[in-house]
Amino acid sequence: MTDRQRLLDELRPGAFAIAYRMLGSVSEAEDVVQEALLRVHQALDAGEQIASPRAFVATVATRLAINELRSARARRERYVGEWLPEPIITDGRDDPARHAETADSLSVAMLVLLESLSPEQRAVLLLHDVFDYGYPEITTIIGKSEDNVANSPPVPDGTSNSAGPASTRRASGATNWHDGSSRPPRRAISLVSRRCLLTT
Amino acid sequence: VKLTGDGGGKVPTLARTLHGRNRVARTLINGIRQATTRLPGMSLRPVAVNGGPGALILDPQQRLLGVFALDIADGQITSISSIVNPDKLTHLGPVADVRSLLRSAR
Repeated sequence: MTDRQRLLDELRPGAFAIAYRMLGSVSEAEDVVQEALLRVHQALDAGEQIASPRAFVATVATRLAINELRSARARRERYVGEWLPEPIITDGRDDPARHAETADSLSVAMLVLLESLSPEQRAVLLLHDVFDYGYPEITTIIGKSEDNVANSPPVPDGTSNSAGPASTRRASGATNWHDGSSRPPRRAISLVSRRCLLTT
Repeated sequence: VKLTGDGGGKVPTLARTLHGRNRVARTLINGIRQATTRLPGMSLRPVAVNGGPGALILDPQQRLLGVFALDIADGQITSISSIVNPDKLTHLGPVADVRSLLRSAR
């Protein structure tokens, strides 16, 4: 096995962890991972110096997943019946969750809840709360101003869970809040995560 | 507790999410009874699903009919998910053709 191959293999689980939580779909996540690793490969071929391959692949995977989510959104609006994520088995030897930062963030309830966020909100929430990225890094990753990013996750209103993802899904970007204001409360992030664990 | 089924419009399941422990328990018992009558020989194999307890629903040939996943908070089951949309199972192994199984069971 070449060094290049070994590097790509090491990056794969981390990329999948992000992509799967972004998309709730194994097949879509695998496409994103493939593409992200290809971009690393190509960048290295082009002689680029990548200071942190892990950060590089996280960035590419997140951006690709945001794009994928935008086009998946229309499909999921037309989905027949309730939408649940593609399940993954998490007690196997090749368990992708072993590389996961927390198991809670993998739960079906969490993935269903994440469906009610815009792609950017979802990325910010995951990168911050699950993958421990700071806001400056997240800003670089999703290409928004730091202020927007820090304010990005919304507070789902009390009815969002029972109403189901399709009806509560926000059509536009991160500045569209349930109360119509452009500034959600700062504690939004921890509120969202706490809801994920305690409710639904 | 809530009970949600995802058949993707391809496999019969709950039309919408049910809430409340009595209703969920009744529906679950009836659903399993109905399924085992119509698809004899099916079995459950406990596995961890998405970091929580769950089970694979298998036909007699060990092909996948669906996946159950439980969400637990504070020692209580908060949601039961039944994923039976065959498109969402293919990455886990051979998937049963529920429609033809139901037809031949008739």
